[in-house]
Amino acid sequence: MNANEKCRAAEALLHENGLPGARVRAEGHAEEIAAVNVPPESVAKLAALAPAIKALGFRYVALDLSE
Amino acid sequence: MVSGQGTAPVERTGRVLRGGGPEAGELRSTGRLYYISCNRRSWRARPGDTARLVRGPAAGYLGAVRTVCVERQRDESESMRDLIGAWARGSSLEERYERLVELIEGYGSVCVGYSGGVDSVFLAKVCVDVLGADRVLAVTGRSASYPAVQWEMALECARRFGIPHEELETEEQLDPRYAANPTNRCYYCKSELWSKLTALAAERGYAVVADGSNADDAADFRPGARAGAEWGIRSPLAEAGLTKADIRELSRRHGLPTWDQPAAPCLASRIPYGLAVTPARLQQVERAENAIRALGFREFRVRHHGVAARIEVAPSEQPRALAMARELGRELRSVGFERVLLDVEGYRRGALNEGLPVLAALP
Repeated sequence: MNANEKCRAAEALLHENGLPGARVRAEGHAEEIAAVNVPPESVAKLAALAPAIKALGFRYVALDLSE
Repeated sequence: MVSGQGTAPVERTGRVLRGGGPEAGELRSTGRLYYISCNRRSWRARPGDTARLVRGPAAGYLGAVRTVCVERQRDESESMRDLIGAWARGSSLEERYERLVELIEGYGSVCVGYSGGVDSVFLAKVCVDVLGADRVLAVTGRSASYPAVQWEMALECARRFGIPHEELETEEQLDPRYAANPTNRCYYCKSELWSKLTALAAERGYAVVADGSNADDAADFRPGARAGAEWGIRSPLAEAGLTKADIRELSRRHGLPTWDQPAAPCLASRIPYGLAVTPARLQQVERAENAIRALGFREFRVRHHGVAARIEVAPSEQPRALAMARELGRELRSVGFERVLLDVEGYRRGALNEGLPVLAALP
């Protein structure tokens, strides 16, 4: 999967698992980070889903703090 | 091939000679493990090895397991891990500390690679206690990858505990093999450090050069350890089986302020393999971490991913980091990162090694 496909797959996974508004971008010099936009109160749920997101080909899962 | 210390050449005929003489026994994989220790390195013995027991000060030992000397091909994949684990599991903290003291006594004089971190401060302090300040020199290798906050701690501890201390400029960043940031980057950095430090020790007449590697390090991916082995650097904390937790506890008992100090590896460890290590990136990481420290966070890392910074904070500090997400983002953008990310899994040691396809890519 390319980075865009990985992001779409990660978003689908998050949507199916109770994070309907989640958006994912690939960040890092090797696009190895799934940068996820979710509300702060959803971070625990996101952390629980991190292994599944990494299984899509990301090395790290992070909350996007960019404004 | 390695050669034995003061022993006759030995054959590879499938037997381990025990007792230093004719008493021989088959090597067994059950019960106690036997280890091969030559030229200050150790390997677990395998069926098929032949070895001679070494006695006297040249021989190390681990608990009841006397080390043996053997002539065989080096196998770095089987190094200190099993050796230390076997001893550490079967001994008390007091016994491991006693073993450390014995090792240091055997050195006579020592030059310690001294970063100002938990391990090297403890080691330097014990060396001074055991050998006296006139037989110990703690040396800090300073370069762009060495954090200023660590230097302050190194200075303070040396001053407070009477540890003779000097700094040594290292220039690993000038080595293109280091700057390219391969998975064995630490090998080139440590090679630079140990080449200079062993030269200094020889010039000043110190018998041994030692570092603060501990027993836990032996189980981690540490290509720098190979450089240490090549330069004959001793790791008495590891050899005594002292883990990080042991060293923290003993540091507390010795009244060292570092006892609960978070681990503080060099700044280059924040840059993922394959992304070049440059002075500008190192400086950016240092400024970012200083800013986060100023916000009251204690255990964290800023990982440099080009235009993006990925912050890892200890799980205990994660709720606070979430509450301060806006401030964290602002601070890191102010030091030049366009994107700021907070890792949801939090700080963990060796995070940049995660997912590496080949961990043993050594020269």
